[in-house]
Amino acid sequence: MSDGEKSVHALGLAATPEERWLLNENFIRSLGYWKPLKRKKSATC
Amino acid sequence: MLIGMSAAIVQGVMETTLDVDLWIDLPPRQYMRVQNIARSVGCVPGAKTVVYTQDGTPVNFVFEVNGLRPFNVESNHAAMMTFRGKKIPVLKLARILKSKEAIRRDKDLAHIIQIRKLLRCQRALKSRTRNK
Repeated sequence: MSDGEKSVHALGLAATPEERWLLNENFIRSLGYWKPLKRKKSATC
Repeated sequence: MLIGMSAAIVQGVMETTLDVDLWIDLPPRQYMRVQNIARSVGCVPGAKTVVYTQDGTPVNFVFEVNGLRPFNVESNHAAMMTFRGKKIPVLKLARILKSKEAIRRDKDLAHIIQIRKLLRCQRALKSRTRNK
């Protein structure tokens, strides 16, 4: 394994599970995926 | 139980995934029970086994997993971890690897490499700590 690869895996191991997931989530959202659902408009409005 | 790449990511694999896979200990024909629970907490159904949370995260309900033993056996290989603010069982990396080695879709091949590398790093770290 190259030093570059080792440092990537070290970053993954150093983070907490929540931080690891946030990295993925922020990256996916930055690409335009996982957009929050639009609220339904009330029928009376 | 959290499985698939989302489970691998929370354990440190530097990869990405487009959905959250949850292994449900129910027969597949009971998918509506899970859908109803998901709807009651504000999720929107996308398919029989897929819902979207309010923040748009796709969640995939899995009832059978290739390459693994039954849920009650595999749950012994799970660790409790914090995921999106809740403590949930997460399938351990070695078991995720086993499942991916059995499925072997194109995307699994890349994931298999990353999981193996992280497992190697974990082993190296453990032996270094033991030798100190």
